[in-house]
Parts: sequence; C-alpha cells; structure tokens
Amino acid sequence: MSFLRVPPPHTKITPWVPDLIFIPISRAFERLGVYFYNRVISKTEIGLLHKSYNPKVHGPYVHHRYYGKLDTKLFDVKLSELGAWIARREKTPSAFYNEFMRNIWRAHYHYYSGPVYASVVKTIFRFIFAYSFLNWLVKQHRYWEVKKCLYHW
Amino acid sequence: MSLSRVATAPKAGMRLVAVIPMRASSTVATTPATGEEQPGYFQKIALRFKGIPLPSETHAPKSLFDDIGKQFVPPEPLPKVPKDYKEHPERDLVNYPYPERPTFEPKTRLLMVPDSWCTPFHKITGTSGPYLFYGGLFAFLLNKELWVFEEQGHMLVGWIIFYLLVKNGFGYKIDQSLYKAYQERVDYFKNLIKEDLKEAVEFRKNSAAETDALKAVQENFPTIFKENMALQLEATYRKNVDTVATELKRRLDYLQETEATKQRFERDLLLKLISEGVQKQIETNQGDIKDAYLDNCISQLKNLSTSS
Repeated sequence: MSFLRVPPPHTKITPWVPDLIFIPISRAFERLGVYFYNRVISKTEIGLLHKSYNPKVHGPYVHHRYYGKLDTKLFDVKLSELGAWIARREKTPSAFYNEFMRNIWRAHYHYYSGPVYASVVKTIFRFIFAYSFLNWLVKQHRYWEVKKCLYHW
Repeated sequence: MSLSRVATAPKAGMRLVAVIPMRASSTVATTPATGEEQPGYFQKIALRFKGIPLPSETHAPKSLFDDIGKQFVPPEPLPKVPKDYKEHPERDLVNYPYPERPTFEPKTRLLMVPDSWCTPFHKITGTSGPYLFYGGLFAFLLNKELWVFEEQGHMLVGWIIFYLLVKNGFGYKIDQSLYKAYQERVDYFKNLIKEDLKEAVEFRKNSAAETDALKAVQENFPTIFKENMALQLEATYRKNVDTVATELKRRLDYLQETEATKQRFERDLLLKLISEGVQKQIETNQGDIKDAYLDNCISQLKNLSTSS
C-alpha cells in the first residue's frame, strides 16, 4: 500500500526501464487506434440505422420496417412499369444486405419475438426443421454431378 | 431373485419345478353380471378413442390423447394500444403505426405454407388453387430431380409422426401451464407496484371523507373545548378542596391531640402533687393536722349527739 501514497515533494525517482519501452509502444497503439477511428470508423455508414429514420415521425425503431421513401409494392406494379421500378431501386451491396436482414427480422417477428402466446411445440419443431433445411441446402452440391446423369429434358 | 427360495431340495431323480405366481389386471378385474350387454373388444377400443367411459367405469381414464386437435386460446385478451396516440405532433401513424405484438403466429396450411401465400389464389382458382399449385410444383421438382429425395429423407416420415404425437399429446397442456406461469409472474410484479402505491391509494380514498368529517365537526369545536375546560376545572377544584380538607383535618387533629396531651399531663401532675403533698403533711403531722382533725371529728360527734 505504500506505493499508492503520493511521494513527498522533490523526491528523486529514477525511471523503470521496462516502462520506458512499454509506454511508447502502448502510446503508438493508442495513436493508431485514434487515427483509425477519426479516419475510418467515424465516417462509415456500416451498421448505422437508416439515414431518414426520425424517432419523432416514425416512433420506435422496428427492424423489419423500411424507413426510406415508400414505393408501390412489387405485386402491384404493372409489367410496363417494371423497368422503371427496378431502375429506382438501390442495387448496392449494403442495400441488398439491409433488405436481407429486414426479411430475417420479419420472420423473427412473425414467428418468434412478436407473438405473445406462441405455441412452444411448434416453435421447437420449426427450429429443428430450419436446421435440417439448412443442412440439406448446404449439401446439395454433392448431387449436382449425379443429376447430370439421370434425366434428359 | 433366485428361485431357490421357491424350490425345495430335490429328491433323487426328480425334476425341479418352480412355482411363480403370475398376476395381471385381467385376472384381478371382476366381470359384471352376464345379464347386461357387454361391449365387444373392438367396440371397447372405439369407446376408448372417443373418450366415453366403459359401463364398468365412472369416468374415462386420463390419457395422452384427451387433447387431440385442441388449440390453446388465452382467456383474457391482450391490452389494447390506443390507435390515435401521437407521442409527437408530426408522428406518422398511417405508414408507421405502433408495433403491436400479435397474440398468435401467422396461420399456416399443412404447417409449411403460410396463409398469405395461399389466399391470392382464391380469386383466380378458388380454394383448391394453392394445394394444386404447390402440389404440382412439388411433383414437378421431384420428377425432374430438381429436388432430390435423398437417402436421409426417410427421417421426414419419422419426424412428422413424432411432431404430430408431441403436438397432440402435450402441446395443449404445455401452453396452458406456461400461460398460467406467465400470468403469475406478471401478477408478482404488479403486486410489487401495488404494494408501493398502497399508501397513496388509501390516502386518496380516505382524505376526502376525512376532510368532510372534519368540516362537519368543526362547528361544535368551541362548545366541546369549553365543556372540556369546565370539566377539567371542576376536577382540579374538587382535588384542591380535598387536599385542603385533609390538610386542615390533619393540623386540627394535631393541635387537638397536643392540647389533650398537655391537659392530661397537667392534670396528672397536679393530682400527683396534691395527693403526695397532703399525704406528706398528714404523715409528718405538719401544723398538728391530726389533732385538729380529731378535734373536728369530736365536735361533729358532739353535734350529732346533741341533735338527736
């Protein structure tokens, strides 16, 4: 505990050599992190909520809702307007990813977190079915070669 | 369990025979009178499936299959969210209403196809549309080996049967007990809040009545206070009078007793003095008292004799 006490004034302390090495290295890491934050992290738009989300207008943030500009639904679009409709859509990777996650959240809301009185047995078996389905999907590559030998159109 | 306790020591050349008592429910159950009509074996099975008790029973036995096909519906509906409440004046309630939690999951057909994917067919093909569409799609994919029914597909049959058994045997009871447990948990927290607010609620209930009662009684306060004061004064007066009387009595008694004692003492003293003095005078014959007394007696006697 004596090392926690402030030493008296005009005390001569010689520096500890390991500290002379560790402190500059730690400072270098700290500076690197600060530069990375200021240059990269604070300027990204990855992982942030939608830019046009306003809590006063939209209320609480719901992950399965889209907070951008509303457009006609795909099944209500006429075939002649389909090209224009597709042109209006954002085709960037982050837009694809956000839409994908929104659908995941939608399934989560409808079947898992939304219902107050969900059926336990059905939920458990849905998990089992989902796991089995993903397993089946991931193993389909084993059957591609075999399928070429079985039938002709 | 060895049979040695049952078997005795064998005689020479005898076969070992062990007697094992067998008991089963069929041997224990009593058969009813032969006059009544008894259901046959298959009729009994049918009655059991329908949940009807047999003639020899008061109620059907409890079984896993009591709740086949039952869906648990909670008795109390969820609390409603006000439809036009705006946290902020600019709130858009048309496109972004408050995310209410639904009571149940979306309905599914054959547990695989959601309802929302089937209902658009009704306008065009009628109610058989979705089944034909998805059934045909499945048949096409299967036939052209676009969806391969691999060797591990046999598990589907078993899993489906397992799911149906679990759902029909335990699903209803599980949902019921979980609902009860959830309600108990919610009630626990609600009671905590209620306890905190108990004093406030009681105060609110009683304060109005208390103020009214006070107002009604306030008019009589002057007379009440005066009466109380008068009673207190009366009591203190009586106490004081009592004290004074006792003190006076004590003092007078004291004086009386001292006076009496003094008088008694004086009397006793005087008596003693006089009697002792006289006796002493007589004894010492001071001033010839004895002679004078004798002379007095003689003269008296002379008077007596002359008078008679």
